[in-house]
Amino acid sequence: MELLLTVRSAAWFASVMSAGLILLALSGIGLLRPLEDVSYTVFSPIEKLLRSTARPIADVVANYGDVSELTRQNDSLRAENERLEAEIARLREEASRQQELERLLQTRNALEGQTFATASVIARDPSNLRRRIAIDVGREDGVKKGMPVITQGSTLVGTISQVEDGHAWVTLVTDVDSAVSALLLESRAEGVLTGSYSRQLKMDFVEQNATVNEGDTVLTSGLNGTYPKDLVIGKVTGVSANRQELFRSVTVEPLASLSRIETVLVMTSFVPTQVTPP
Amino acid sequence: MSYWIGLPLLVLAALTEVSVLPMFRLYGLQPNLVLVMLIAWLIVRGSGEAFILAPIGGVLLGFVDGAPVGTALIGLAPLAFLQDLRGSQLREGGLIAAIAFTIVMSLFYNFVHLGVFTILGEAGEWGAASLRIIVPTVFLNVAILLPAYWLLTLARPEERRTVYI
Repeated sequence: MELLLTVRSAAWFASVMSAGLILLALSGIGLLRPLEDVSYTVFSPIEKLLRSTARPIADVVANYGDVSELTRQNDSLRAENERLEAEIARLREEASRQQELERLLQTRNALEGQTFATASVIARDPSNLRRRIAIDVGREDGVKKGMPVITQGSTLVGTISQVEDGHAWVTLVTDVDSAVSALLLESRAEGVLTGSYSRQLKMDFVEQNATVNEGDTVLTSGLNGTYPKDLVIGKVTGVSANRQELFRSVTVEPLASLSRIETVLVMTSFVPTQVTPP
Repeated sequence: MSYWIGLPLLVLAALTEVSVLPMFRLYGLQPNLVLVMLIAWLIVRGSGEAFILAPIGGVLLGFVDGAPVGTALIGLAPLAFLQDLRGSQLREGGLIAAIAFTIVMSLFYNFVHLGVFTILGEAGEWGAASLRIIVPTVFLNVAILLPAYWLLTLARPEERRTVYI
């Protein structure tokens, strides 16, 4: 009896593995795309219904967790407020602040003339190994692989990595496969921003002598042609202090609330170009 | 219970894994709901139903989760050997053996995904992925196995007695 069970289990295992490998191969060459589109059409409304049903519960859970965080932030902000009150008298600081605002204004103006496709987030990649979201615009809406995706507040979300007829997958900037040429607004120091499994962005290849402070704003640099210039990405939260290393390592927190984002804009007018070195 | 309950539950679990669980992530992580549901189903109700439900669940996840179709199916394949365990250790060791199998299955399932993402050039370092993503996910899977296991044993009292004896 036990032998029969083992033979049956081995046969089932072999069958499922073979079927999985065949499907993987068919998926790799794109033969399953029509079926994927059909499954999207069938399941998308149910997913939307589930999300909208669970959203109020998720909000309650999130707000409950925020109480202790808000208390901590409140204490921190009070101390910060005292410090700022002393500094606010300094005209030099005021002037510096104005300059920063002017630069941010330029950033917003940089998006003028661009065309966008508005999209709702319809699913998230359930694998913990990737950070991707599915949106409800696709090939039929003019969306192409490589197009940047931003929030309604013009903050970078990620890039289109997979396009189907009626929907597309966006690889978030926090994904380990994401790499963005970036610069700091204040010092114009450049680097490459990558995702990591620790859920924080890392800005590598920042020169040792560059001035980097916590709270500095990180923008896309536009180098390599994969992203438009001057999109806001996030704020610096930490800087490595090891002077023996060739480059400084900077940790960055994205400004967009990527785990809760519901609506995004796809920059359909931006065509990414791959710039290869001579 | 029959396929009339099992199939809708499976579809619901797959869609919940994609659409609802991401809203309740703990430190950016969520459990593999379909995997855990199938393990609990197989332990409590035997292979007859689970051997049909598992391939359906694997293919279904493939079509909704964004990973290449077939990845989840391969990750679920070792469920076959749970039936052999169920016939021997599970009746004696009960929940402990179920937890041990969940740990092994979760590791296999997630490493299959990591392997496929690596082939596609979409994965980071395996060490960091293992320590920061896969191992914590295993703990999450074990944590949700407990209520799933309990609920399914409640649904079949004679099986519950057998398992706990």
